Amino acid sequence: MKKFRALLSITCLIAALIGFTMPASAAEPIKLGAIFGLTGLMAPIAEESVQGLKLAFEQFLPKEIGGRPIEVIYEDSSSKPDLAVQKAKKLVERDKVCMIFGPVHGGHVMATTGYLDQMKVPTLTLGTNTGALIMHRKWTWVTGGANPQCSYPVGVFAYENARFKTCTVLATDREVGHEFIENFAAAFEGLGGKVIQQQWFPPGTTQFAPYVAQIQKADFLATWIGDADGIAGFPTLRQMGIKMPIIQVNHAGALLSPKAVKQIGDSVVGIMTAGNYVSTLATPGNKEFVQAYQKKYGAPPGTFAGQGMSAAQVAMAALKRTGGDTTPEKLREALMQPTDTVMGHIEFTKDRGGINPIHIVQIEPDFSYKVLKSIVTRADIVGEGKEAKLKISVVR
Amino acid sequence: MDTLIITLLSGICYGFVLFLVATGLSLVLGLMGIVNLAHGALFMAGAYTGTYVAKATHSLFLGILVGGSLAAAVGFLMERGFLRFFYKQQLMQILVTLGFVHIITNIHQWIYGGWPQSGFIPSYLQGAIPIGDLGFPYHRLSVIVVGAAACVILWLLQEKTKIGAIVRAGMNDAEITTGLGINLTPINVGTFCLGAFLAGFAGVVGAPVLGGFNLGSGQEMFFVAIGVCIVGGVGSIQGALVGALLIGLAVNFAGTYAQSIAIFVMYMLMILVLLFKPAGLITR
Repeated sequence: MKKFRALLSITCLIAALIGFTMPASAAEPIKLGAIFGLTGLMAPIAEESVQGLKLAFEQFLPKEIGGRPIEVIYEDSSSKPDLAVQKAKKLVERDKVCMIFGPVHGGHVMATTGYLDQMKVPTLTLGTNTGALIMHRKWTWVTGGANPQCSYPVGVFAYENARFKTCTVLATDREVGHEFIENFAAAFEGLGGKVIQQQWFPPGTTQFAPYVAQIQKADFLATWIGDADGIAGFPTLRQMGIKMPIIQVNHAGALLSPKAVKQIGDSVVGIMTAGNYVSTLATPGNKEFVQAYQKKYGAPPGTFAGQGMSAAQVAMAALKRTGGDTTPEKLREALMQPTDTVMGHIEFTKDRGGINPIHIVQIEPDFSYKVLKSIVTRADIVGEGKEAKLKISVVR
Repeated sequence: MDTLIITLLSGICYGFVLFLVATGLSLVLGLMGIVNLAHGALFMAGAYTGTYVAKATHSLFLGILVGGSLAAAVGFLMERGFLRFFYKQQLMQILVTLGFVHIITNIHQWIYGGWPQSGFIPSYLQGAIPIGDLGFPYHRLSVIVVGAAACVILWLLQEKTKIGAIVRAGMNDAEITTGLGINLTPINVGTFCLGAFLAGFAGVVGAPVLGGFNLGSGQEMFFVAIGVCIVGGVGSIQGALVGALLIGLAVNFAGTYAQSIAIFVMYMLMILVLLFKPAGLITR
């Protein structure tokens, strides 16, 4: 009995010493946060984004780095910017996350990244997002590049590849709509094309007939029909007999979601649009990702799911580079390195804007996507102070 | 001229969709004094389920029947299960009906997902009447015909039948009407369910005119329906018709000829009516 007690005491002593001498962080999980509007009007976009992220962490990415398990904490902002900020505070101050994914919507992103900038928490937005993140934030990585990077290549494609010379515009009268259209027009007119008409309708419009009735004849119609309800425009365009080719200069969510285009129906068949990801891309690992996604969720991944997977790949590649070190400066340095993702090869400018391909696609009669052209662009800040603005240029 | 004709027809068509949505809201408000904030959610419920059924069966009629009936059934549940305990308690009515907005919306998100959906147009209503280089879709013309027919039927029901006379009497003075030995409860329930049915019906037939629907469509339509009640006046078929057509035409003409004011033209109309005829253009 005495021998047993002595043995037990020695074992406890050794265990205590090991516990004392081991670094406190060794078994601590590396916590990552995700904020999305899982309920409310942003729900469909958020749902796909989170599905992509979850699948990435469940099936494709390492479960631990440097001996520390990876833990992802998902928060619902209910599609409200103020709640998104509260959730960001919870993730940073209570959960101690080292990196955050999302939110998707420009308004939400600006609200949360203001706080996250102060706290030096690296934030990865999914896909293209407002150029203001590159201009006015220091800790946000815009994995898909600035919004203008999506529509600028469309102008190049329309003139150089589709050989269109004239264009008429129909777009939602919102800041982001102007951002997309201005940059599309800059590229198209810069190459020699001509925008002969611009019509802007209020957000939430359901009555498109008056606008359709005034569309002038051109080689094609460029649209940015944004918001979930804005998709109402495409059925009206088709029903009223608009036959010219239509290019939606950015997918605006629904057009690059296989689930959504099926629900919207035939009126979107033949429409060309642009975005960071479609399930038919021949990028490294995409085939496996599409198969796994289809098996789990019963449909091919939409653009937001692919962007979720890609953002997770970028984050995990950075953590691998630091060996699991989560100090902000080390993460910053690691995040700036290029990563191969299902979206394609992603690099970053010094201002954290993604340099990655924008894929211009056409919606086929079976609601799949035919990739027409992939163009890589970058956005750089030119000028200083109030004169500062983003300059978009084609890389390849 | 082509643009003018298309704008006019589009305005009338949209007006009749608004009429179908707003009539129920107006009658319930006039007869029972209930502000049903969930009226738009009933429109959305009808649109989702009715369109789903119509697409699955390729039958618009079946879609309308199911969409309208579902909305009426939810309306019955709301009235009998909750609202009858809160007559003349407007704050409670607002809380209860707002609760239903959230419940109905979340159930639809759970069942159908959040992406927008297109309306159902049967094969016999595909195509368009040529007007210049463009066309005006047959299904939109059919909405005008259906809306006008519904308007006539509802007017006859209100003005030429005994039930209609009781409804009108109940609106004018509920206490005296019940004092005459008339039981207003079935009339109240019937009016509430009819209003809900019309909202669901409008959801199915109106969806293609609105370019489709989503989880926010109910809220949007509720606010426009309130606008119709303010402009046209509460509690009459004629008021709902005048309000709906005026707003439908104003929105479409602004879209064609004054795009810069298109976003607030409905509110301008409401402000003008509230300034010069606060009870609405048609008063009982």
